[in-house]
Amino acid sequence: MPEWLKPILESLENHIETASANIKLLDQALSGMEGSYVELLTILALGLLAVIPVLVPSRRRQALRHLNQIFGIAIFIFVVYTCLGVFGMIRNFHRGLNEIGRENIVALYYCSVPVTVLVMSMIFGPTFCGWICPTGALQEFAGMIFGRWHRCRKAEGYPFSWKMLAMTILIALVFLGWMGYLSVTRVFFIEDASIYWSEVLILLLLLLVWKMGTWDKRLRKLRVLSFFIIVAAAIASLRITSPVHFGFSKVYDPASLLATVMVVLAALTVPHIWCRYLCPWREAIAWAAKHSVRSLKTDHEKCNQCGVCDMVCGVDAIQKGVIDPHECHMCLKCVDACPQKAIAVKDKWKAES
Amino acid sequence: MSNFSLKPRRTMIVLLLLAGHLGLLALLHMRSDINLFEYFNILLLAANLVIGVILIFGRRNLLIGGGLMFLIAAHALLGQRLAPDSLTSGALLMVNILILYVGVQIYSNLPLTHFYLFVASYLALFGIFILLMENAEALFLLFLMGLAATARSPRLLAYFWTLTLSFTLCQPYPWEALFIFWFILTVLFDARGKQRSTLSLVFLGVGLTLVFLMLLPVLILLFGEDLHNIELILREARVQEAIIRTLWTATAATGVLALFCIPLGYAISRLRFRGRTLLLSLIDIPIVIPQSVAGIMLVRVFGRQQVLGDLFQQTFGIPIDGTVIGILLAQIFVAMPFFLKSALAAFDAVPEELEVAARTLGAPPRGEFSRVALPLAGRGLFLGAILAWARAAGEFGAVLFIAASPETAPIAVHNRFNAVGLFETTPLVALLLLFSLVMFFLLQFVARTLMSSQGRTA
Amino acid sequence: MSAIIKMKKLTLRLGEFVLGPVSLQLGQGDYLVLLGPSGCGKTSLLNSIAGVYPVSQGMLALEGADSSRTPPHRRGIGYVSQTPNLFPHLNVRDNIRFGLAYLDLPEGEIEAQFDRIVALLGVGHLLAQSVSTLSGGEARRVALARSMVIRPRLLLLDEPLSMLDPNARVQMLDTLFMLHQETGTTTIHVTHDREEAWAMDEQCAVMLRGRIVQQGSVEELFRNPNSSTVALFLGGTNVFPATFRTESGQTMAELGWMQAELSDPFAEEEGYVLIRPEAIVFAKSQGEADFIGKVKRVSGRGAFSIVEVEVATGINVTIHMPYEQAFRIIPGDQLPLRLSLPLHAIKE
Repeated sequence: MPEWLKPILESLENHIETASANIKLLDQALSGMEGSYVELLTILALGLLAVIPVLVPSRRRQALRHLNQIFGIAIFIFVVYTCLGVFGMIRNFHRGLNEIGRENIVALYYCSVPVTVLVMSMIFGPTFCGWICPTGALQEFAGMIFGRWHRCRKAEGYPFSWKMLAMTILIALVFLGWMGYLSVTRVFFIEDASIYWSEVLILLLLLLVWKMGTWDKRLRKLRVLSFFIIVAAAIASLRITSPVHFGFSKVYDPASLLATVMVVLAALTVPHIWCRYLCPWREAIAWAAKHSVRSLKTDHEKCNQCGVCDMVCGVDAIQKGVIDPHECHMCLKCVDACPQKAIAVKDKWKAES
Repeated sequence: MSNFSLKPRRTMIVLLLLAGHLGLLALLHMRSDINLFEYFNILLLAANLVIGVILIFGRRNLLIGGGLMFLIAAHALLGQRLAPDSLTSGALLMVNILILYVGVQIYSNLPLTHFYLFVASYLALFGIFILLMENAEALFLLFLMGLAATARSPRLLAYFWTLTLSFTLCQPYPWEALFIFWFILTVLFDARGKQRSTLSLVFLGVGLTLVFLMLLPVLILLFGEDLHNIELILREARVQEAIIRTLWTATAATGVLALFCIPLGYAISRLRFRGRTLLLSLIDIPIVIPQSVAGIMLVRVFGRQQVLGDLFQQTFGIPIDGTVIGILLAQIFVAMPFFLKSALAAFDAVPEELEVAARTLGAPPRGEFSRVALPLAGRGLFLGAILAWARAAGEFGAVLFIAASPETAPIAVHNRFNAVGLFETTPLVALLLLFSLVMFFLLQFVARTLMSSQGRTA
Repeated sequence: MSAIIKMKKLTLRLGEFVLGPVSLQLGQGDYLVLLGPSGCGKTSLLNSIAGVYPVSQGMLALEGADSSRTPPHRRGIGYVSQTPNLFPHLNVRDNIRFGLAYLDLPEGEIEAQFDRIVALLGVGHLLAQSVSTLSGGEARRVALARSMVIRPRLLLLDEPLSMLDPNARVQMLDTLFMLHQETGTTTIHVTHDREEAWAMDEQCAVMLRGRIVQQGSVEELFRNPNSSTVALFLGGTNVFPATFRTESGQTMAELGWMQAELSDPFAEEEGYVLIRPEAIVFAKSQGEADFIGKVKRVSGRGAFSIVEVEVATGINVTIHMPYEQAFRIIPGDQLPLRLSLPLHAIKE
């Protein structure tokens, strides 16, 4: 080996070593073991994910959106499992804000996800709900199974149906059975809030079987209540978890898993039931997105009130072209479905004073 | 590639940026400040190359693209100086890209002054978190995102800056400060009126700031105390006794005052006599004189072996000072002006024409007073009674001199502070604070909502 | 017939202002309209009758008994002041019932009285309302009901029509008429508005600067004002000095720019004449004209127009004429005019 080659090889070896060390570091971060790096990646990933709805071409938008949602589920499983789920997010936000000025890196760790989501909502609209949120994604995927049936029910104004009652009872039985199984086998987390949220979900379902057509708007106010419960719990530093808080985590927590299953099952009966009636984070995002630069606008000159957008919307946020921005998830299904091309995403940088 | 032509200006700028990135990187690598072959640096270089190619051969916005390249290059060269590691640097880069996007939008859509405001905000954040504070790169990241979200509207920007100030300057008490700031801002932005000018808004803002500086201790004590400690304090028998004693003495004092001040207030309001103005200023004396002076004056007259105190003891067999009667006396003394003034104002607000009408309808003076003047002045009288009650319950100085031994709540705080010090006293203070605030707002609420339904003036 | 109220040289001192001496007498069922310009002391007079202001001098007797020291609540007088002054903390029913508590009558009769007055004044549908929701006319009615329900010996009305819109004024006038017809309550109605006095067409007293200067029927006052100030107040502006010359029972007035006959013989040599604005009409020809006027200003007043003409340097005459006659007149026209009624002379 020539003498002059030796230093070059050595330095190359060093470079490879540092590179592999870096990759290892990234791997550790990805696997969620090394806390302080997780949130940085989260910012990167969530930021990208929030910008994607702006960038994607409109041609195959819905397919790309579903891809994005799967990516969102993956991110929330592998990267942000600590802040997963909406309750945890609010609690961590409070905890992180309290760390500012003491342990700044911990503050970033806890605040990064909620801040990113809120900031993106304030600029690009509530895209988090429609494009990333794993809970929303799970519900949407579950709802797809009964998509046509849901559209019929919506068209008829959500009347009472035996089918729906039967499904609800089935879901309640799953819940009871699981609870029974848990209580006879092993650790029974009766103090876990997830179980109570599951119960609320079932009660809500029973209510919706009879009254969905008329009580829909009023029941959505429950989200505000839900939000304040979580905020109060966070301030009082109570341990309060969401149905999906641990559902994705690597720690096996039967109560949370049960709750996750409940949300998915309930979404079979009522699409997006969690987002519509219970999600506290949805309320915060709707508030943040109230004056977002990017929003959906209907050109009422073009709109002929055919009602196609009503049918495709999963959260009943649009009626004959009139959009309720407080409910909209920015999934852009109505934009893609509109036969008149009357609905479009509008930037309004100038409008804001 | 027939319909394709390179634009020389575009290409030159892009190549310059790329050359700058590469050249400076190589230079720093030679000086071994930066390791060129580090994973992150290669990534950034590759990203810049891709963007450069897109910019040269595509028709994208040069401002955004060039800015992006510049940002990436700058992060590659300086990032590691500022951020503790390459991941933080990467996150910073992403956030800066967001800032670039927002900045370009503001520059091209909003007034130029707004853009300067945005740039100034960025530089200020940089100064605070990178230059002034140590280990605050993480916060820089977070607050930059906040800036990006709020930069487009002055109102949102104001909220953002108060949030930043709360969490940096007002550090031990960020929530209290935030609460105050946002309240003031909301009031300022929502203030309406014919005379709404910048001057009046500045007046309002300055005034509110002072008011809230005064309220800050209240907020800190209320939010800062653990509920558990307050509960513990409440269980102490001595504290319970003191609070109950305060409650009933203040109520009794208010009752006595009502008995005397309502008729007197009515008379002064309706009659004109020589010395009326003098009487009106004499009423204020208990407000003007210091509480301790008032206490000693009371002792001089009502104390043991003093003029009236002796007489009282001989007649009733109990002394005034050192007993509940002394407490009552002191409370009545200090609360009297509040009740009397309120009664006066309340009766002044009842139009005399209404009483004339009552007289001509056959009502004798007694009926006129009880059926017209009293109900119409009722709300004002009730508010006055609340004020007097609060003053009586809170009286410390005068009570301390004439009757320190059966403890009222303020005296209990004083004794506790003398005995065990500041930190042991704060739960008790928070308790009393909570208690009086709840009482006060409850009564105010009653007076304003419930009584307004019947005591409406046309 | 004993007088319900009798005032003899009643005097009232309110700081600088001296009211009176006023002498006045009203019998049972009389309705007196007390007419006077703003600030002449009408309201003060009412206040002293009601007992709100103490009488400084003179005598005030109610039903024969000297009442100048009686407190207001024992006088038995209903007083409806210019603003309704309803009690804001009571609803309409309790407002009206306020005085009933002090009425010395059996329970059934009180209820009957209440029902009767409420029905008379047509406020039955308002009883449960809060007084802040009433319109101006309704509030006035409720105030009237409140004072009438205690069966006053004497009712004092202070400007009962002021600040009402025209329709409400007409209704209120009807109500006052009807109320007086039904109850026969002796009433003093104070107003500054001549039209109101004409409309009531009852006894009328004119009050100027704290004194009652003339009293009589509306017709009398209208035809025969006893001084130029009264004439000016009642009739507008056309009062001019004149000299008089009596020949064979016919008195001629010489105004300098016009000569005209008087309606009645007049003994004095100098005095004033009053020309009613509506008593001047167009002359058919120059020869028939009593005088020529040069038009200075024309202004509309609804159904009639006001034309101001100059008859001599510095002397202006106001004419009221129907709108259809006046609308072609423009300032600068020379109009031949004549009197449609004989003139009326005034001593001072």
